[in-house]
Amino acid sequence: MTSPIRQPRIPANDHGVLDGVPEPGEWTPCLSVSVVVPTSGTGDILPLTLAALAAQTYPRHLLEVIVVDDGERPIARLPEIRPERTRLLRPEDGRWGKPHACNLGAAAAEGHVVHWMDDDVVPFPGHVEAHMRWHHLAGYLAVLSHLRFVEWRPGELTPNEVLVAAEAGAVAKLFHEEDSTPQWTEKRWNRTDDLRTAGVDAFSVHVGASASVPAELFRSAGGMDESLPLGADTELGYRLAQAGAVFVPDRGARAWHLGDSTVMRREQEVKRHNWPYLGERVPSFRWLRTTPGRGYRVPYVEAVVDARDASLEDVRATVDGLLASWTPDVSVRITGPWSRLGDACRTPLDDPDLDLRLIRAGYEGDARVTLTEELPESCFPTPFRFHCPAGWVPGQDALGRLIAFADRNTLGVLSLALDERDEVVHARLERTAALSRARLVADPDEDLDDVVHEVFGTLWDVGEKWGIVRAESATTVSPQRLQAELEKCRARSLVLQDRVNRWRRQATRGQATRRWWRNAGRRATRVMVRRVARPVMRRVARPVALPWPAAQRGRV
Amino acid sequence: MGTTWGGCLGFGSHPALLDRVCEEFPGPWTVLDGADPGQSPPREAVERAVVAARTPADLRRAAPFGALVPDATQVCVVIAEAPPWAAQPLPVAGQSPAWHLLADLRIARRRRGWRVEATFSAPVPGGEVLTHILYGMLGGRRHLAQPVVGLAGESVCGWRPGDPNVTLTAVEGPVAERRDAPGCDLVLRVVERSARPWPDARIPVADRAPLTAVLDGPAHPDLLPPVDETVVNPIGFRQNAKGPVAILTGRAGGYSITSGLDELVRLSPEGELTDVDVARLRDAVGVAVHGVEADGLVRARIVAGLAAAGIPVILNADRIADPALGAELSDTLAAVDEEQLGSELRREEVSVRLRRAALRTHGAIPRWRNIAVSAGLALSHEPPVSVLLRTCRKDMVAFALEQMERQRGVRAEVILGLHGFSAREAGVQGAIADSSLRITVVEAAAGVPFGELLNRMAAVASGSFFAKVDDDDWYGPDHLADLLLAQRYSGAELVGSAAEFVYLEPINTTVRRRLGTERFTSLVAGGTMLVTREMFETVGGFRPIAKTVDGQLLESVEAAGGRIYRTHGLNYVLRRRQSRTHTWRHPVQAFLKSYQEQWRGLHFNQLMESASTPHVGYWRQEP
Repeated sequence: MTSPIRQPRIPANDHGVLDGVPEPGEWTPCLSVSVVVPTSGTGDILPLTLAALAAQTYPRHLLEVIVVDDGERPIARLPEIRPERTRLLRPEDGRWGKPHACNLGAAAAEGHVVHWMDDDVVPFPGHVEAHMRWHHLAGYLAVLSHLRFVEWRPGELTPNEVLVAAEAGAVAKLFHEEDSTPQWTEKRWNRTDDLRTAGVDAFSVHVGASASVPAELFRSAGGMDESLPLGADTELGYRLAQAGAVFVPDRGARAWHLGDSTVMRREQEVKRHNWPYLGERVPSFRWLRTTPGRGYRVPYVEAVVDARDASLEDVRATVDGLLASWTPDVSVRITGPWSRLGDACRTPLDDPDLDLRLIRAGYEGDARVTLTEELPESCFPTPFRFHCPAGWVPGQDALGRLIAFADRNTLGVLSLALDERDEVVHARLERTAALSRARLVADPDEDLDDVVHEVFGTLWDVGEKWGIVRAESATTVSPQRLQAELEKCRARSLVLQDRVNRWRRQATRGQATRRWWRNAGRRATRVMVRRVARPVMRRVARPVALPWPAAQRGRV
Repeated sequence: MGTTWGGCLGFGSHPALLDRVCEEFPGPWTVLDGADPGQSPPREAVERAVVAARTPADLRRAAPFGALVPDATQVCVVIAEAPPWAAQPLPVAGQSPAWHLLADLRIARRRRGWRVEATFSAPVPGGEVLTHILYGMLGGRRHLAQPVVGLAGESVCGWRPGDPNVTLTAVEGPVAERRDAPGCDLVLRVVERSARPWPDARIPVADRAPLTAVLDGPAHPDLLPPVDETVVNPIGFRQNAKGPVAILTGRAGGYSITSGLDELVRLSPEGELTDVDVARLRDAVGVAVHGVEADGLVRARIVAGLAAAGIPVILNADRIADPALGAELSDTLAAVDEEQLGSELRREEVSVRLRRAALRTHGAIPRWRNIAVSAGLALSHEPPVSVLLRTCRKDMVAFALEQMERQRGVRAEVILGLHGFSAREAGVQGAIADSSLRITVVEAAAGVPFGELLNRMAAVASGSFFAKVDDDDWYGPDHLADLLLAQRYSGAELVGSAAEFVYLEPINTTVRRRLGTERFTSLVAGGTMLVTREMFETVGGFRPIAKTVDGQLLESVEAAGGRIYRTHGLNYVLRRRQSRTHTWRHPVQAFLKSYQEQWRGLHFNQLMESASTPHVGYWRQEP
């Protein structure tokens, strides 16, 4: 493997900083790829997919294809037209589902890169090459394809036709582009300059119909979640992001998707099916977690409180403050030398480790609190970790505001100075994605925060601004109090609204008055003309014998 | 008696304004900015003399022509507009006997300007009253005195702003003698090309063509009338200017600077820029001087004036090499990039560079030094600066001396105060020997209060200014020169800069704070104070206490009636150390509370001319 010696450092999701993206056919690849095609065996497009894969421009010795047959009836044999190195795998009995098939394929894969491809996709000849050119530039990219959905009647095409078209460079002409439907993700690409400005949300367009990712990154992210029958690709995207991945859509990696996807056909049902699963597993989808007061499988924030050399009161204030946060999906990890607390006979009140013991006693039963000796390097897949020194209490809105601020500015680490003694006492919000990426690209002896600053951003601020205060001055707001405040505001707003209405009325009345006076002159003239001038004129006109013939009196 | 005399200045481009501000005097007006200095001064006293100036800058141009104002029982000085930073026109009486006759004095604000009416029991010289009002407004005792200059020619008005001690002569001479002395050391004549001979061989003469005339020789900066740094200067510079780039255009009978459809400033055909004009341009990001056709040296004069005021000037590439601008200003102008003006920090850097170059080349003081030297006159030296550098850390001596060694553009000596150790100790001795500076060492035991040591150091200092510097902060190479420049244009007794840039060592972060610079204020950073020897001696030096001696000096200067000016903070990076090793009152949080920009690591702006620690990008506070 000749992976790049020093990984380039991509800030946020701005893959535009990668220079030297080669044009197709003008570079020499060296990384191998395993295309994993999970299939249920029911569709008749798999032969077409394999035929299109057989005609890829990517060097044959670097390309293998693994077909994972997940169907009820096993496929007897692979079609004739297929890439040289094609294997057929079958899951063990009782194991099923696309995520499992993908994991199985990835486990068998020998390539540096795993490339998922659905069995209803017909890639253009340069498809795999387009993906692979990115993987040669950096080792933590997830590359997405440019799919077009076309109507498909079974039997419309034969594998041979696909192969001939591919060799003639005419795959684009197999279907009419103008009749095709773009994937929903394309809108997001357009809006975000091909995800360059998508920031921390880029993962949500990770769609598994045709996407590739370095095998190592895939494994370190934990593979696909097999408990998700649908939507596993989105969840994988989320975990890849937490593992440090950058999402690169390549408009050159084109493919036809024959027939509509399930999402297109039954969108509402798919959403109804996926949302309970994704809500549990993807904390960044905040709209799936609007219910207050309940827990989720993957918390949004892991708060870390160090109980070493801290008093019970300080730790309790901090932990309780964190648990009372308005961001409900917070888990708290209290680190301390818990193993030291033996069960030997002791005098309860004179125990040297009394505070530690009391802390443990106080939180053993809370499902949201974990007591650990050592802090794991990362809180993956939880997206944020918040270190808060014991004795300091974040306000109830602090975590939510901090995270919103960090997201808005794509910060990797946000440090909050609280107090200065011999050292600066500080709280610290860490973005898992940023630290993971920094670990991927850092040189061995480099300060990790310096690298985080390059790939995301680091910032220092004061805790006071974000409502992090000493335990003595901490207050929580009860719902009753909030309700009362709300009522007060509502009453005040009514008063103000009233005043506004009055002023508006006065203003319009003023206007009306002005208008009345402006027109008064005209009105007076009209009245004068009607009441005075006309009768007078008539009276004056009546007895007069006109010197000219009556016929000429009419208006000319 | 029984008549009113009226003189006006600066209303050439604003004729309607004159009628508005002096409704009670219908004219005729004597136009002082076109007056011939050779005319005989008025003999007869009048009852009332009115002097109307559009701006304080115009009033300063009137000062040399004080002799042309007749004696009057009532002197009325009208200033149509004054910039927001100028002080009020309270007369500062010198030794003139006129004020003994004062019967009534009224000072009233009129719209954006002022009106001063002084009534005396007998006629007094109007010019003196005018000068004393000017002293009150812009500070007296500004060091433009030598040489004593004779002025001749009709358009000589802008050449010697604010100097009442000139001798007015006719174009052909002769110069009126003073008591037992020649009337002047040097005559400046503004005459047309057909130069008439100068009869008096004892007094050297410098001939200048009128500005709008076509040059008949090579241009050089000395042909331009100087920029009056007392009024056209960076005071009031706005760091966060929001407006678009304004454009200089020609108009019938002069020039104007416009921003979109708004005419911000109207300039006379001679391109004279005033303090009020500058104040109006403060919201513009810069001024583009592109296609405007200007006679003779007028364009160079406008550009020099704008640059001296710290307004970024964008000039066409082919116009930059104007020899009348001077090499330093031309080079600086060539480096101005319109794109960069979008960034506040880059814009301020550009502005500082421009004002430095322009004030050093075109300011009244350097201009007259040059003219005098070309005429063969001997001049006193530029005032030297004594740097008071006190340290209680052996390991910082070398660093601190290095910071002072890179200072350029000033004559400086260093008074090194060693607090608690001796100069003979290893490391210290070497550092002092390696330095090329003139160093005087003062040693004191660790128990001696900080303030007392500083006073001992000041006692051995020989400079006209004392600059206090800290041993662990970073200084840009123009730190002292910029402070001196600020002292010159502000006239303040104590100048300093803002500690805008702070390196927070405990968290390895540099922040920039928004502190408001280029203004009179009562606080400057302790490590950047530059005080005149006169004021230092007036207040009796530092208080002999151990802490906050800086703050105490500021208080005493204010109490003694001195003024304190805060110039830009781009030459200074404060080092906030670990709290253990420093006597800091502010914790790190205090610096983080109101930062505007933040960099990871130690960051220097371009004017510091030092390498920052490697960093990528920076952070800007959300608006």
